[in-house]
Amino acid sequence: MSFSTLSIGASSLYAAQRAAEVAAHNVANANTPGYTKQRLEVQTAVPTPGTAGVNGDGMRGNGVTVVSIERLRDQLADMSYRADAATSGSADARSEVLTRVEGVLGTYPDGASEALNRFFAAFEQLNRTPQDPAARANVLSSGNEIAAALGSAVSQVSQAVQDVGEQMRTNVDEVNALASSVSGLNLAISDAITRQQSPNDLMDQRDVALDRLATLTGATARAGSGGQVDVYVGNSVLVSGLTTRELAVTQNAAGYSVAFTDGPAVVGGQLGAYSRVTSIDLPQINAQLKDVAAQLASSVNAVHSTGYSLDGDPAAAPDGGDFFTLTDTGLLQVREGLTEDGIAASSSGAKTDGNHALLLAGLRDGSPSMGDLLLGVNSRIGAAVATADRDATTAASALTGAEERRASADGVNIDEEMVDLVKYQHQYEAAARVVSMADEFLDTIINRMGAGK
Amino acid sequence: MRVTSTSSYASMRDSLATSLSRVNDLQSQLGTMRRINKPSDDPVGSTTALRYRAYEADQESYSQSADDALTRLSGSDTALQGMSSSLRKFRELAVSAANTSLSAEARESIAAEMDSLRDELADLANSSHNGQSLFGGHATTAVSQDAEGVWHYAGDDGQVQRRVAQGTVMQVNIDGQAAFGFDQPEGQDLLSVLDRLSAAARTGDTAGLATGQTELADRTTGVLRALATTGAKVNAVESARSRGEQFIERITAERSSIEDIDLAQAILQLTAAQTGYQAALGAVAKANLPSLADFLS
Repeated sequence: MSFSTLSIGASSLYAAQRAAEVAAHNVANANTPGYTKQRLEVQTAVPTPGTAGVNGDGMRGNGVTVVSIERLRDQLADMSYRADAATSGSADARSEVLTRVEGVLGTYPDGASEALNRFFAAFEQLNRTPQDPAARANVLSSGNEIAAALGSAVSQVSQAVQDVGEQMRTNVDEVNALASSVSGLNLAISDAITRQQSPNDLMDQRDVALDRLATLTGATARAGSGGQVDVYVGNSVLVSGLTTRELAVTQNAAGYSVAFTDGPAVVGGQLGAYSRVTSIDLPQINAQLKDVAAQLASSVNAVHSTGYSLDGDPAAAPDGGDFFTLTDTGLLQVREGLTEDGIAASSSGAKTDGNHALLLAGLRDGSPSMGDLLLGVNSRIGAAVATADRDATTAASALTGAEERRASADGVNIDEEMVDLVKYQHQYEAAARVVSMADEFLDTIINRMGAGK
Repeated sequence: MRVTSTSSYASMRDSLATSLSRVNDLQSQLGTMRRINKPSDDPVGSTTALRYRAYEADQESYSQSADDALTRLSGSDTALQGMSSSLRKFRELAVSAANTSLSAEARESIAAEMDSLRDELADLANSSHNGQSLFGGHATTAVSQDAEGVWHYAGDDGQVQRRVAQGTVMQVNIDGQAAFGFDQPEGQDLLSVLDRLSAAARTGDTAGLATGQTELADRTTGVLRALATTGAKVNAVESARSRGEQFIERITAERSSIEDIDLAQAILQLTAAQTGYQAALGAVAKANLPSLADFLS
């Protein structure tokens, strides 16, 4: 019997305590976002060489040593989660913006389409009673109504572009903050690793930041040296070890886009979708709305100007003039100065003649048909939103799948931790027993043996 | 697959959210009784439904125009019927005036009755609807007499048009110029013929009465032809309107099938979705099972 039994017992007590600590830490963080299950790595202690001989004296076991605390992270699950997060971030952002502009033409089934119906119905009414001031007033007010409906649609879309631009600025600030926090964590982690420590919780924090970066920009992470990671947006470096680059939002004629302060960037994720939607989709919708306004103005004006107002002189040239005018920004307006009596209902100049109003009403089914032009905008917005919604749903379910797979690989299972606690509790009890047995042995040797007794 | 608390809570949360959103969608469909509540619910269907709604709104205008056309044509019909019966009376008077045994007083009284019938006919020819002359194109009157007592057509050749159905524009006025003989050589119009007959009756000019009766027969044909035209137009407007209304009935039924929910089916789906949600809630409650910790002392 040697003193080594005591130290073997002590190593076992220590290992069991540390293992219980790790299990407790796991239980405590079972629901912490981004937390990775940790495990205590132990191995048998270096055996004592002893004296070579036949008494089994060489290479005697020396108990257990704690090697490290490992983090059960699955790199592949991370990569697949971040790819799905980028797709989902992009699809969500697109769907969010398009859904917002879906209502610009008014609540289905009312709105601009109904206003256009009323506009043409007002002309049919004017055809029946060309001298009735109420019918004339109705034409004027329904003309204002359709102009306002199209104008408000255009300004809502423009407002959406601006609001998304603001949102992009906020997001880019967040990306820059995340990039510098990744580089800060890189420093702390590589320091700890140099000192042979396990900076598991810092790595978890960095992974949370990398997840968020993937959602925002589609960024990918590659392992660098000394436990550091490099972050790439598109193929350009955002974080390289301890150095970072900054992203910034630039506004141009087409919309908003994101680039590095010192070079271009191919941005994916949420910011990429925002930039595409503000520079392609929303301007297209606005162009279509303005096209409807321009076509409506030109075809109504072409007919209106060849008719006679209520005060028109049949012998003179037609005095109808324009009905609509377009502003510099392409917005539709009823011509300033057009009065109720100025509406050209008459083809001949006779006051009771309402045939021109009939021609104007017929423009609804003309070529191009005004009703169909407006419906074209409706169906394009509708189809874009429907596609974006479907994409977002698909991407969200893929992301949920990836999240569950990753959580399944690196998450905490309470039962496992309980089993571990029970296991290490028993080990601790047994190790304590070993120590007290060694104590009894030593007591026997020291106090009950020898001449002094 | 290893189950961890993050993965199991994520899947619980996901299943609850999915089934609740299904319940929510169906409830909003039932609330409006429409399957389509925004264009993205069905881009093609919503566009078709909006187009059909526009057809329905148009048809409302066309129906009003057809009603207006019918009122106008029935006014023309009444006026022309009145003229036709006055002309019959006028002819009878002309026949009795040809009797050579009549006294001067009797002839004068016949001539006076003729004059009043002529005035009545001139009034009927100037009938109007909503301030618009029925027989004078876009003018306010159809016939007028100048200071020398010569009759003129005071109207123009304007056509009063109404769109009575999709793509069907119809002329709903009767051309008074042809109906009252103002397209004939001067002096051959209806009212001048009547003037001459009354003068002949007053003076006992039998030759004049005989010529006048032939001319009157010709002009009466003009009025009767206008009456027939009116009847034909009424028929045309009515058939166009009923065609339009039938079209709209089909369109409305079609739109409803695109846009509206099948109530029985929607309620069944909602019940199923609610059951699904309850099941998901139950599963989450059950999943909160005791852990090993409960059994350790």
